[in-house]
Amino acid sequence: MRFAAAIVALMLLAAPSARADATAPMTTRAASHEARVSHDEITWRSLYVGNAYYPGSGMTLLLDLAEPIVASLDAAGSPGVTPIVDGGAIVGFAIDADHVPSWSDGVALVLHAPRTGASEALLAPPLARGDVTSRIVVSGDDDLRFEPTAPQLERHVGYWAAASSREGERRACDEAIGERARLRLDEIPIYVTGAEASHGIRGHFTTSSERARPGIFFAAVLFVLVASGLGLAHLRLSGRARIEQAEAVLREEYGDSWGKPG
Amino acid sequence: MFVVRWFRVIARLLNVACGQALPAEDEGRARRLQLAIAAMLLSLVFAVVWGVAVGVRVPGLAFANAYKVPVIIFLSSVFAVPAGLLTWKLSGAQCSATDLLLGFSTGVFSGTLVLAVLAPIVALYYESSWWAGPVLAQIAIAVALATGSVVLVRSVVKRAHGPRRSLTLSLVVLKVMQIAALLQLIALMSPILPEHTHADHGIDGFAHPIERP
Repeated sequence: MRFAAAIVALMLLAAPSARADATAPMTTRAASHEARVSHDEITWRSLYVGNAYYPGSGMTLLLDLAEPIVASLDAAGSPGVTPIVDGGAIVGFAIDADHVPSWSDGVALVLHAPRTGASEALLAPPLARGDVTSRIVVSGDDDLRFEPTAPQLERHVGYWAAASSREGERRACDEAIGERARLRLDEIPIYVTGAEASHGIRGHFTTSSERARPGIFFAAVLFVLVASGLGLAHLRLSGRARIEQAEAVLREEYGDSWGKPG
Repeated sequence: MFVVRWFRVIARLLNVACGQALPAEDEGRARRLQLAIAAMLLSLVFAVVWGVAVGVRVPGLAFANAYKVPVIIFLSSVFAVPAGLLTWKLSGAQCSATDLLLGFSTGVFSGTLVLAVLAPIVALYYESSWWAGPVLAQIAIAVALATGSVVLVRSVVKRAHGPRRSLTLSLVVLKVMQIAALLQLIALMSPILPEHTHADHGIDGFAHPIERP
């Protein structure tokens, strides 16, 4: 009995040290990727939530990306996260579970990626490998928006999603992210999984002034047409208005009987 | 002669705005339509005055506003008319379509006239104060909208020949459609004022602080 207790005690003492170098894949339930686009850079604020729980400590969790991305990790904004680099691109992240005690709840990281292309662009968010639904929101100066042109994405009222995407998955993604990254009413998120957008999302950036340009042209043309139409109508109505005025004067002079036969 | 005629038109429109009846010689359908069109065209002139006044500090903006503000006011009114007329027809409002149009355009005329008469003060404050100019400009816009609404209701109601209740829906639709169009046209044409305002982004500017449920 005493021998068995000693073996259990030894196992408990040995366990943490045995796990100090242990690695485990991190399976995540949902992710939020917020991109802030500037003139030459895209800053990604990513949050992987609802990560599968592994008991113990001293664990290094590995998160595989759907596609290698060219970016640099902002260490200050990514506590406990180390990039796994292969051939100059980030292929995944190693998360030190001891540095991020709430890692099962959510792992946050910040990436700086170069912006390629002024208008046409290939958006490469750090999507987790597999079928994890990710929510992507893009913003920037002058009300910059990203409009995907990728054929696999369809535009719906208030969001973009792959044709195969189901409402339940999107809702589960929003619920898992919850209060940590709230969506505003005027933001149009893109819902994708790593499998659906493994080569990035093709599309183009538009600023509010670029989006307004066709509208301004249309408004100017319409203004000129309608205003000149009204001007012409005013001139053409003059003759009839003069007749009406004359009739009114005559009616005043001769009473209501004016103009009636007999 | 031309100027005198237009001054006479302005006097007639002001009478309508005050709720006075038109003289017998102006009661014809063509003449009322002509007055409605004249009110819209005159409001363009008043809009130019206002646009230049709010951009007085930035010459480029003053120049751009000389065409932007008239376009915004004119098109927002034009966009509201079809919905207003359809509501008038379907609700069986007890007034003629020309009376509704005359009342609406007189409202636009009065609102822009308010902007035009306040323009010198707004320009002066924009030139001489950092904070009072924009505040005064926005107060002037609110006063102009309120004046336009009051004049619209008063002039249409005075000319109605049946229960006033039947007019309510047409008047509400006209005003709501006009303001809705105004908001998005401002977003399209912004900047109008040198400062950032919620209206610069149209409905999105007001929706942005709201989080999705």
